[in-house]
Amino acid sequence: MTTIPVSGRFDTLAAPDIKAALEAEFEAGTRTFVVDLSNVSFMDSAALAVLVSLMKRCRADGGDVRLIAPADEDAARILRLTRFDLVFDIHEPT
Amino acid sequence: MTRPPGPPAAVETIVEAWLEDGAEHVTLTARGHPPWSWGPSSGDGTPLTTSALTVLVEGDLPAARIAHDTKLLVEILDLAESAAEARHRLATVMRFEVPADVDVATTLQSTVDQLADVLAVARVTINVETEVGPRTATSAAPVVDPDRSQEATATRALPLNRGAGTLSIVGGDAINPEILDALARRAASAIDLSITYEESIATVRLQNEYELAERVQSRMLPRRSVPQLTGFEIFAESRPARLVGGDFCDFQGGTGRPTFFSVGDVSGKGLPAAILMSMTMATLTNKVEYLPEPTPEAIIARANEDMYSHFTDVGMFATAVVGKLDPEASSVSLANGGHSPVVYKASGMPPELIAPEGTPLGVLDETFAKDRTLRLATGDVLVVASDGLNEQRDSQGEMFGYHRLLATVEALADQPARLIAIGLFSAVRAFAGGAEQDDDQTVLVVRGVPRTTPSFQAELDADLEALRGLPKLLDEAIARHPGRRAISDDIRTGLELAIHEVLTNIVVHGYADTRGSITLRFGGDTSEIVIDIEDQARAFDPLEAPMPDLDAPQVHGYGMFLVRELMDTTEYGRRGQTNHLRLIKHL
Repeated sequence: MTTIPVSGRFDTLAAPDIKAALEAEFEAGTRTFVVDLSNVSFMDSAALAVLVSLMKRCRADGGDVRLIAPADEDAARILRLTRFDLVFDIHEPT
Repeated sequence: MTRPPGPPAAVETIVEAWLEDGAEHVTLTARGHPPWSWGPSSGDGTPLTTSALTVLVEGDLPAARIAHDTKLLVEILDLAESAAEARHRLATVMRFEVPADVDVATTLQSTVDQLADVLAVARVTINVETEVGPRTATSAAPVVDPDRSQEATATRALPLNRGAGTLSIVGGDAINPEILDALARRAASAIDLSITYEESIATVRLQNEYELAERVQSRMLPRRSVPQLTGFEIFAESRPARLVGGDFCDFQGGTGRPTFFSVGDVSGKGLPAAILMSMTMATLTNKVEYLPEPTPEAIIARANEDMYSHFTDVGMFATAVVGKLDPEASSVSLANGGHSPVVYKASGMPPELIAPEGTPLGVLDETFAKDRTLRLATGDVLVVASDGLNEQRDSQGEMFGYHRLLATVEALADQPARLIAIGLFSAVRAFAGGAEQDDDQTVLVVRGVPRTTPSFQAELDADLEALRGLPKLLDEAIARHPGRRAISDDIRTGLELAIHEVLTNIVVHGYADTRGSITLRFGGDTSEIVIDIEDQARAFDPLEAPMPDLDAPQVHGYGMFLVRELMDTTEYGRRGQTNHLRLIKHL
């Protein structure tokens, strides 16, 4: 299990870099991820696409992706609105 | 020729005993039979007459024996008579075959025809009052000569399980009442059966038709919502009277095309009306989409040409008002093919009725509908209603009428479009009292409203990097917005995300890495924030993006879903070389 922290704006611009980092971990053999979004201030649909794509690949290999919810209320709202709270195992930030 | 029936065997036995014991000749004359004779007659006997039988015995036989045996003979003949009667009755009743038809009308006709034949009477009539309505049948051709009495010679109540009925017989000989009773019972059971069949078939047929009609409608009715256009406020609602109605209300065009509405009413009910309604709506949409210069008049004329033969085939027609909304000119042009008059109220003027100039679709090969342009600036109101409103009757049979329609519009003209429509429905319902809604009721209201003046405007490069500047820009726009006190942090983030998604889409899909710019205008008042986003990229409606299946997450498709979820109104239009997207968030 590997925890990957993401911070700041997780949007269309940041998504390619974050996606590359996550995929490098995946190639290295990690199948169970914790993506820590607690310091994320903004997420858009590109961020969601990255998380879903990783989740699908991990689950296909018996792994999973867990999320730590953004501490920011507004950023956290996107996860509820898209029903990602039903798709992902989401933990409250500590 | 059949031989007349001989005496019953028991009679023969008695007479033969008389002949053995001294009688030379015997003649028995029983009522209703030719005389029966035994032995040569000498012509000197004295007949013994009883009410039922005359006995003539010649020869040497004691009178006391004759008298005694005669009583016996009478009893034997009585018994034989009633046995023959019973056989005849049975034969008569059995000649009446229970009809095997499933519909009441055929069963009744076949019953009266058979009864007239079986009973050999001039005319048989059956009247029944059942759950499937009153029915009457009279036997066809008289089978006896017309000189006979035409007075009713017998009437029987039909012992129906499922209603009441009478059987009347005119002309003919007196009929054994027991035979008539038996026939009435047989006829009643046949009629009962046919009523049951007809009711169950009618129920099944009705259910199927409604189900089918509803399915046709729900499949074919566009799920498009009421369009949002600058300077117009639009509301439409249709309230069907029964399960499936003939009214329709639809909007066409929009994406890169002018916006049209059509309100109409297909004559008739049920499946054929539903199919024709769907065809009419599809045809109108097709005309809006593909006519090079779509105008209401041209749309009605071309749709009539397409639909004329379909309507003629089924003996139906449709009325329709087609209107073209012009937000630039703050006006509507409309043409009316046989629909109820539309109500138009110019600001500061009393409402007026504008009568249809055209005939309904499907009546003639021409409709004569003509375009008419009405101003729809602030304070002007257009109401297109179906005749289900003005023709609604109260319990005394009085109609709501156009004067009440006009008065209601006058009273409500300053209200939002939705309240005008709801107010009209309520006024009609209140007028009806307890009376049932007679027909479908459809109301479309278009109001001219002020165009929003932007409180903040900004221009962005069509570049993902430029989107990073959005939070700052949004803060500035909010600071200058009249409704800023009502803009919470939640609303602010919602706006940011929605605008962010739209801008990303325009950069990635619209400009697709070519250079360009995007204009952002913020407007609205204390009740709403209106964001107009314009670009000069290729024609691209970001709202057409498919909705995500939220239970089966996929990699794409969340962006526009988020926009719709976060905003109260999203609307796209293409004007010239410009894509225009409007987002509205209520505060």
